Amino acid sequence: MRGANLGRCRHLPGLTERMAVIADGLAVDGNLLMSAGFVADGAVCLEGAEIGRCLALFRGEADHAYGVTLSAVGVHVKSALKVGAVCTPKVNISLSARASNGDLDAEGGTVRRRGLERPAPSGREGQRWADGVPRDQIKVSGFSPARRDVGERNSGADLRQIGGDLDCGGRTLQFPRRDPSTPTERA
Amino acid sequence: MAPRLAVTPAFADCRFDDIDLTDASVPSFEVIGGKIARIRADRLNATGTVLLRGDRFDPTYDHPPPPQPSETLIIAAGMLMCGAKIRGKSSTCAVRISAVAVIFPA
Repeated sequence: MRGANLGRCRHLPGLTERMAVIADGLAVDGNLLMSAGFVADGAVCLEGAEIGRCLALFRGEADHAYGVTLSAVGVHVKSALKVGAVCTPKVNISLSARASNGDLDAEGGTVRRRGLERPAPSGREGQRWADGVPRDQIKVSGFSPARRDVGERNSGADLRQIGGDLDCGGRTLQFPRRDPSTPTERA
Repeated sequence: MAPRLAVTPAFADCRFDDIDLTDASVPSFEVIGGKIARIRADRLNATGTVLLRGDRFDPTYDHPPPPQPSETLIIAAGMLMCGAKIRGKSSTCAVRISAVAVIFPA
């Protein structure tokens, strides 16, 4: 086993976290719905999945202490990605939507980008968006008061990368602190 | 040899130890309510929809609803769908699914 790379191995329980749905590389032309009573005792793994329309993961529940984890690095959602109010606060989302050209609806959640993440309030709680910014519309309204500052800061950080609309549901937006040593860009 | 089905398997409120659709080709696949130990569907090819859900109102479901299915579909040992191709939609609403627990034999 010397030199073996098991980083993407999904079928060896114990090496990785609990996984309930292992669907890496799944291709769905229509909607992928995991909502309205979806309860998972483990992660939902959709790495590299291609979703032709809408990926909906909301109004779900967590059946174990760590909550629902959506692992979807490299997912390609062509229409809308709806993950708002996913059993908050027990959810972790690691997402790199490389080409989500449609809407991102994360109402009730927290949007973060790589480099600006900070630990969730307690343990693994909280929603986390790693990089990946949709180019059409982003909705990040409804942040919980406890993490309001996180949402605002990161929304501001992402502003110049959004090609379409940004709906923050009445929240104020602030530019992130910039490192004085780095050159600034004109908006 | 991977199975190639010409009709849609549809089950309501049934109990299965294991459903193996690895490399299978189906028009659609439906399980509404009931209990399944685990689902293996790597590289499944479905030209229609894959419904694995409990009894919920679905305006897009254009068949007569099954008689008295259970409200929740229980999948006790996880679901594998790596590399599956579904030409329609995939719905897993009202599903209680537990973690993949064992190493599946080849």
